[in-house]
Amino acid sequence: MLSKTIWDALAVTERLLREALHGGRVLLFWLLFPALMLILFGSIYAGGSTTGTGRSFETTVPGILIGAALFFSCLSGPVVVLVGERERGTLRRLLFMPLSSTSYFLGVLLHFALVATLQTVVVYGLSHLFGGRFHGALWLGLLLIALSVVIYCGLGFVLGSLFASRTEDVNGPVSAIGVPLLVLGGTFFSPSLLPPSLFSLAQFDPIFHMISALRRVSAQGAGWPEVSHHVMALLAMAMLSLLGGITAYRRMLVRERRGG
Amino acid sequence: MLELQDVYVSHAHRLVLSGLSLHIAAGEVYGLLGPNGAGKTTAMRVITSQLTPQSGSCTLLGSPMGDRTKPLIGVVPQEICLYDRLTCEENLRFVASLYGLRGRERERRIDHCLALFELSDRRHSLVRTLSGGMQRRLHVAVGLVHEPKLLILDEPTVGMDLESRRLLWQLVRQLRTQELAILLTTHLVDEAETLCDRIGILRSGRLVAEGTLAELHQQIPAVQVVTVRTHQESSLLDRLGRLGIVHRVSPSGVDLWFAQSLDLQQVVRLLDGLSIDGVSQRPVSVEDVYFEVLQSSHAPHSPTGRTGSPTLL
Repeated sequence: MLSKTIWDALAVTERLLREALHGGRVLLFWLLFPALMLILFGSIYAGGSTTGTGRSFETTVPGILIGAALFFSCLSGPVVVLVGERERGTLRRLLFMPLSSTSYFLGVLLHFALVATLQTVVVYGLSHLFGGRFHGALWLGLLLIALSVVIYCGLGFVLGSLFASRTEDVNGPVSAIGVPLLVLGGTFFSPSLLPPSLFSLAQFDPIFHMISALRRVSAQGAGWPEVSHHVMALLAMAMLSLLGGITAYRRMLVRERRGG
Repeated sequence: MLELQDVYVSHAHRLVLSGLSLHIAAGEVYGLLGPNGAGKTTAMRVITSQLTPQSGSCTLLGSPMGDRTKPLIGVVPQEICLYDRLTCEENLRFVASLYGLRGRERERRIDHCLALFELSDRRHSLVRTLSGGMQRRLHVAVGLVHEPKLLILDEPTVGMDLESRRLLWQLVRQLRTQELAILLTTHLVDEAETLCDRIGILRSGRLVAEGTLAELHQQIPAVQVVTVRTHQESSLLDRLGRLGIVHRVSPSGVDLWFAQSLDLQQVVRLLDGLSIDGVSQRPVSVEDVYFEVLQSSHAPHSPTGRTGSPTLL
């Protein structure tokens, strides 16, 4: 049973990767966008900084990776995948097939994890070119990125299942729910600038924990003791997101069956 | 192979399937005919485990419909549903993988399906670059790639060009010889007539007629239809009523049903004194049976103008 779940998930991943490769521009833009954002923000901060260009890029890269790269690939991506299945009618066909919701979710998750890996390599690679370095433990950084991907994908499934049935609907929920989370999470400025009430609210924003933890590990070399509270919060949110994503997808299938 | 026993489904306080029973044997092509809203789609949803009936049973090879029977069924929905950013081969590979096919066996099935549907030379073409007919063929191939025991074709030739339609009909005939049962839902009577070993006519959620072509023909004790075109339709209808000839008003004129073949002279004698614009004759078709069965199961006073019982002349 477990083996079938994994094989099916791999089949879904392979399909999505092939689709992405055939429509290569999407993949290109997913890499280009964070790269340009990093160069822009890194250069802007470097202009007003006394610590040098490399340091500016080190500080900027976690926010760009989480807020510009993974946000658009791993959050918007699953929404687009689900809407695409609906619009092409392939979702109806999937209903007839022996494919579980868990396999489908895992397949989509794995696909976006691979895209996220590519984005991480590009963004950190670019930062390295400008003199930025990764100061903390690599495993901790990878764990934070992995948790971020899970949370984004789960949230993407929730948004795609509940709020978007056509391509035109995709931007609505992503902008209305995602962008405020980005702002609150400290993508564009440090959360230390937030007023106390918003700072308290930010504790419930997964992006706040993603960026804060990754910035501390990546730019300041913090270890497990300094970021453990962020990691625990992200773990809890990842579990919730995973459950929420699979449940929302299952409900969408039930609705689709009734609608048939 | 497939067995539906006394299946009842209701939705919003309305019976959608009302005691539907049917069985389909291996190697048989069964056509489910019916107007919109007759319950064809609901029946299909029960068979594919999308819907659980309120009562009755539905089994495939003795197993109740559910996750265990899913791999045994191939479904070809009415609307084309393919991944247009994948090639023909990749579409088939994805579906074959989900049905548990791996390695050489999977590649063998893909090759076979591409060859069967004459798509081998478009193997590496993206779906979005294929013509509508080719997409329709691939759409059917996807339903067959895992070698199902029951293939459900839901209005399979909608939107197909003539060539593709002929190819599909030919393929269905070929498939009939294998250990595969085929359930075809269609509103095209000629399609059902050409392809199906048995036909069931569904109306208001129940089968109102079922049988082989010969058995269905016996539902109407007539062998010949004579279509008369006249601008004196009311006079003609009066005459037919007096003579007790079964007739039906159709868009092409007034159809007269005869239990034996008449030559045109005999027909003209019957119409003596009426101004006739044209007369044509043909054997009774399944289409005649279909409309007659639907009408007679619908209302006591048929709007088609059917009167009396068939009369031998």
